[in-house]
Amino acid sequence: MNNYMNYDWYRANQSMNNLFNPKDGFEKGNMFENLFSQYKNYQEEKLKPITEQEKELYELSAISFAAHDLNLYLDTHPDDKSMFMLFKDYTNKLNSLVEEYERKYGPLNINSKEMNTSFTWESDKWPWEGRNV
Amino acid sequence: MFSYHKRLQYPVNIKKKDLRMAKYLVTQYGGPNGELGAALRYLNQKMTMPDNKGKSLLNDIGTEELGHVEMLETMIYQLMKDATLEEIKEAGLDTHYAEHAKALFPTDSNGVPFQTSYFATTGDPLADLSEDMAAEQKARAVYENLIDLTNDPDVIGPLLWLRQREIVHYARFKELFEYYEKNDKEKDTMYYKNNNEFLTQQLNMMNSNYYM
Repeated sequence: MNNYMNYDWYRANQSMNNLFNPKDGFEKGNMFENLFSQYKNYQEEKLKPITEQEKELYELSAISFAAHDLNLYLDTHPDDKSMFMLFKDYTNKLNSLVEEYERKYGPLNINSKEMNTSFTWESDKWPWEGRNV
Repeated sequence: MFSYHKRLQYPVNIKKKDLRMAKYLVTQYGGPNGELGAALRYLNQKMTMPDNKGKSLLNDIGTEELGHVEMLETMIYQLMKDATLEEIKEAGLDTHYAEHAKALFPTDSNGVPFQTSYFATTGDPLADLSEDMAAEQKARAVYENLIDLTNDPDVIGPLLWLRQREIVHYARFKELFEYYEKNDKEKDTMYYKNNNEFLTQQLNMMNSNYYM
């Protein structure tokens, strides 16, 4: 479960700009190599999902984070076309990961397509409850 | 408007209760450099940013900070939830318990409640962005102090992550500040000219009323 992100599609983008890949960027809390600043000798936490559901949640959280950090960059650099293309890649990937996750595990958003026969919004635990293991 | 995503921006899974740490962490929830203050400050300031770059950046960082508020709440909740009354008294959280039991309440580490003065908004984009840059640096420093105060990896992980976000936000605010500063220099002459005309008009009006 450790190696929870190994898509080819992001490897293709790794050489672009000075960005971390979404998995590393998500764990560090920063997509931009030039902005990254380490505190003392602390290393970022290597996220270790313990279930398939958690693995898939981390994957979509990583892509969502990558898209968001590019979003903040694009707010002040709206004319950077290559960054915008990568942002589009991430948001497209995010949308499909969210759909897949919701199909398997229930809604992450209240307007989820998956909530069509019964109100399952409140059936799964809430994010602040942590792991029940 | 806002819609909720049923997940944290970054995972928090704290297994070990630690009431002292909960007491320190609460300042990043409701203290002067905390996430609640940051979220509300940016979402407040976005209204009067002079262009779309500023409006979108303040909006998007403010929105992210709401996600950080939830992370901080989660950390405090998980650190406190299994505590006994004895442990609560020992940690000096009995005064919190008296009014709030195990519910959360936004204060700093000394129990000073959240204050709207943390918004620190002037309506001047350069002054407001200087405030925002300082706020991000102060929050970074506080996260470092908090990391120094614990050795629980479940707590250090999210704190390192939140610290890193302060660094990114600082860099974005700085870009916007420098962009406005440059534009301002170009516009300055025009601004003062208009302002002088306005003041002269006002003075003339006052004078004419006075002699009527």
